[in-house]
Amino acid sequence: MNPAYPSKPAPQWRQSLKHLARSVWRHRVLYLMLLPGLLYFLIFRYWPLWNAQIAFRDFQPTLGVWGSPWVGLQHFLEFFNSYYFSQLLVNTLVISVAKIALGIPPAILLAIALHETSRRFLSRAVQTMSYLPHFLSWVIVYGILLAMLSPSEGLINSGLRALGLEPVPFLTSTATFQPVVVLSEVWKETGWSAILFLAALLSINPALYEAAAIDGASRWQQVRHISLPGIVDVLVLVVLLKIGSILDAGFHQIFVLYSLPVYSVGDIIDTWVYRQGIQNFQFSLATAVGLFKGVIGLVLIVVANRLARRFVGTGLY
Amino acid sequence: MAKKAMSRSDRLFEWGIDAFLVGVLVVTLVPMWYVAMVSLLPFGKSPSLLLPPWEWSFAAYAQLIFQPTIWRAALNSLLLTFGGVLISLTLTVLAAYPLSRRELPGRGFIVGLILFTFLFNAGLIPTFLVVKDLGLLNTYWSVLLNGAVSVYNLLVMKTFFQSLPESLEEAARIDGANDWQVLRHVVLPLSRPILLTIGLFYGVANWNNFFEPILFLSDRSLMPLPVVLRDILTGLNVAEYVEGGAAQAAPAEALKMAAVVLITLPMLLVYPWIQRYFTKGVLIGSVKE
Amino acid sequence: MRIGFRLLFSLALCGGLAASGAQAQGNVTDLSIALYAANPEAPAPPANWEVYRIVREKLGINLKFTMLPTGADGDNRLGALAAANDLPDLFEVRSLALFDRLVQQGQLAPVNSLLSQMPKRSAERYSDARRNLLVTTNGQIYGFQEPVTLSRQYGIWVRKDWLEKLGLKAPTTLEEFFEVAKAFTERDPDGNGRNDTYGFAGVIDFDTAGILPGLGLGNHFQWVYGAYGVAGTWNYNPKAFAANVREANFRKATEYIRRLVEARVIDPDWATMRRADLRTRWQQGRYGMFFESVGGLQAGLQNFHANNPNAELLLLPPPKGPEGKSSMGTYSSAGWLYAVSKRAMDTGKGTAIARFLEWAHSGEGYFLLGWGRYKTDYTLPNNVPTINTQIPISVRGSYTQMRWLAFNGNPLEMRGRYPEITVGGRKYVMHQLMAQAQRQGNWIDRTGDLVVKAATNQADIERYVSENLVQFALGQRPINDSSWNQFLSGLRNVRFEQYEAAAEKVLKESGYLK
Repeated sequence: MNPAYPSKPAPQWRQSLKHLARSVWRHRVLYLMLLPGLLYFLIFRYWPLWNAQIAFRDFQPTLGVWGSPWVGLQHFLEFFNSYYFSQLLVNTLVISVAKIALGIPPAILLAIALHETSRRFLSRAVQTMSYLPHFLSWVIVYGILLAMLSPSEGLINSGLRALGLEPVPFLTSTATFQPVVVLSEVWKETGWSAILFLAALLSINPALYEAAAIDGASRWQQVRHISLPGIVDVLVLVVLLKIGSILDAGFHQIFVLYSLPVYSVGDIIDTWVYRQGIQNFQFSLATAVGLFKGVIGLVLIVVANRLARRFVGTGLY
Repeated sequence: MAKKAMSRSDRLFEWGIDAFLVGVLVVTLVPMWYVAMVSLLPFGKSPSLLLPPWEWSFAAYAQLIFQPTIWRAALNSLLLTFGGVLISLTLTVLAAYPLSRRELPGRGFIVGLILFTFLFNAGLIPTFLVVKDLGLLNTYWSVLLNGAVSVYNLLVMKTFFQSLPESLEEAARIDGANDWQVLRHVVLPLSRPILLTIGLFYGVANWNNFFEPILFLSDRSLMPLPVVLRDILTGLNVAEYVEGGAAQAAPAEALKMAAVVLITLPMLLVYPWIQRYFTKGVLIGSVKE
Repeated sequence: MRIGFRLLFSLALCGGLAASGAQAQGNVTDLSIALYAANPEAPAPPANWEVYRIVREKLGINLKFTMLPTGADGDNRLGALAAANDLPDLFEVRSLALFDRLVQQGQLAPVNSLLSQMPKRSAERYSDARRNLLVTTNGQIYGFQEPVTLSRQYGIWVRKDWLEKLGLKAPTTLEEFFEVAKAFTERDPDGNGRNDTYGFAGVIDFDTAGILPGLGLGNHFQWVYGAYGVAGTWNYNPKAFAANVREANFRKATEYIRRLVEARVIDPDWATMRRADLRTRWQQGRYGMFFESVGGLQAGLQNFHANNPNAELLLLPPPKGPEGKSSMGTYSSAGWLYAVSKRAMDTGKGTAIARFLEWAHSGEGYFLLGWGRYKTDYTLPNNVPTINTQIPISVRGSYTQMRWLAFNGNPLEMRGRYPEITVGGRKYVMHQLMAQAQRQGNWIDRTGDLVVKAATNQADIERYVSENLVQFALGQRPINDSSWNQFLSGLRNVRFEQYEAAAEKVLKESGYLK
């Protein structure tokens, strides 16, 4: 824009507006289609954002969101000073990081194995079966875990007893609860997470393998020098995105698995928010903690996305 | 792979790979098999991986199957699953198609608006208050609507629409079709696989959903199967679901595991048919525009 | 017009007139009531329950009844409704912390004005000033505090047939208890050749039905603390008032439970089991001794004897501790608590609530809600209502899910509800067992606990104590001077001193601590 001609740009501006209006009108059917979805996001995703202001108020159900008195950062401070703050943060991070660290290697291994095997039937069978747990509700997985791990009748404890060892109360022991959480997630999701890596492997040019074979490279060397480099991009992307959502340690899973004896190792931010908000009726406090988590999550995922764009050339969005 | 004489190390490699795959298969299947075995456990026997068929007892199943509360919950689950798929798919298609049209004014802004909700979540309580203010508590609308559109599925759908050849749409438009007709007669017929995939994603999510019903519904008669299963597993109100007030014919563990099997069964039955569509969905999702 | 009519009607009711004729003309009030399941063994009443029709026709009330699950799930459900400012019109509150919070948040209506609208019920149930004090804030009564109907009905039951088989005597002390439990676990008392029995089972249960769980491991383990003289939350020592958890004996009691756990004589699932699991398992003959109420026993006897043909049960007096003390636990002399939401009162539903409660108190309403269907669920031999034990509780129970609104706990009622029954060839006189449980349990009256207001972080406090005790009991943490002191000094982190000081103050003011 040129400040020397203050009156001149007007027609041009008006013209572009007119152009825009015409374009909008031409697409009116499309906007109409968009309307229900847009309303959905406004009502179920943006209205809650407005309600989130109760984090800064002392919410009283009878007074409503707008009528409750302001209290500033009181709820945030209460959470930061609370006895359970550090424990929650540690549990959330430990479980999350362990899930990433122990979840990705088996998925890569599985993808490579599926890619390398020459037995078609085995490959098909493993793919079909290993995706299955992904589609089971955590409630069902909890049932399976009970069957495996229950101290009275569980399969693993029967095995331990047969070996003359003491049974272990896996789901109620502070020593074993986190491993159970992490490993059950690995059991449930490995097959599914392998898909992405498998896709990356399949997109590698087969000529590379052929050339390597002619050069006398062993299968293992081919994996090491062709397959693994071929999935590095996907790996970086997956890791960064998981780091972006590192405060989500798996609410639904822990919600069904945990119990009083393992609160100290199993309680994560989300379960705490649920208990404070829905069980103890501390709506404002719970909202404040949820908001705290949301903001950190936003920052992390934006940073992760930046990094992904820089190192891999593609991000989540 | 070239099928020449393999070196020893390659043979070892193949052997190792296959052993690993078999291992994966065993680790995946043994727990599920054991659940089935426990569910067939008769009184006075210890559960074992290899319970001989002549000792199987279906008493636990009988106790569950003849309980009307289970059937009501199954009906609720079906309603939530199919109703949810219908609503979700409609909303997703209607939003994804316009957003796939690059020339749509304001498209970037709207996509940004939607993407932001994916990155930032206001949390449990504020959402709960919205559902309450809409008067949806204790109705199925709360469960159906609150999770109706998944941003991920929406973007996958949008990416797919963008990948369709534009020439077809152009041709239809030259023939005088409006956007609505283009969507119905050109785009949707070409999108059968993605509709199926996304529909199945929604369907599975709804079928497995237990938290939102717990959060939003208070009437026990409205609860779907996963909530019932959770109650049975954690020993809450078990008697409501088990004939005769308590276990008379089957051990307590058998009852619990029979419930697990019954609730997993529908998924297991349709799974082989729908499995390949899921893989496709993930792969489309990973392709960037 | 309508308001005038309603006023007229309530005046008529105050005068004690039966004004049912005018009701049928369409002035029907919607009334939502939420109560914890009176019979968790049975489903909610069916939609065609005759009570719905009768209440609509005779009282002009369109009754909508919601059954809350017992335990924390029910509390959560109420909490969710409270968050939504969507509380039922009349509802039961079992969590005192929730009650206090609702009063604070202004979600409850004072019920003083309703008391005069249900003269009979008020006179017989809500006229005790001291009891009303438990639910009074700033001079307003915020709930209908029922007198107790069924307290102290819990006890430890022991398999007499197993004792005889192994040649043992019923245990009277903690040490004997331990030995018997060990024998029941290890010496295959059911003779099936499998190592599938346990000496004892109880679960972590904080239900307040006629028993006060106190801070810690809940109802089912109070007897251990009772044996050490530290049952209940507070020590009620006017000279050195403190929470029992600080007493040296509290640690000893916890150590005893740990001993049971480590000797594997308690069902290893105890820390996560619920009451329903416990019931299923004792009915299946897994336990030599178990904690159960007389009512729970009655409900399970049929199954129990079907599964264990030659079994016989004995009610155990609370085992004595090293200093000869014993108690099955603490209780309050106050029963259920019902509250009215402010919204219900604001929308003019008060009179309908009073009308309904008065109807439930005596006559037709009393029988319909308390006893169910005449000649099906109960009969009236010699004008004494008596439940029909031929019909299983899982069926019968549906029709009496609202019975606590009706029952008053008089001896005749007890006789009818806990009749003499014969199951599996054995005779049980249930009301005698009830009396026995109340008498021999050395129960400690701790009604004062109810005047102590919940701390703002009550949930944190309760969690802190329970969680630590569970970890000690399960052997996840060693119990020694340093770990125990660490536990005690950690109480500061949940501001326990303030809670303690507030409790002492209010207990002294209300005269419970003298």
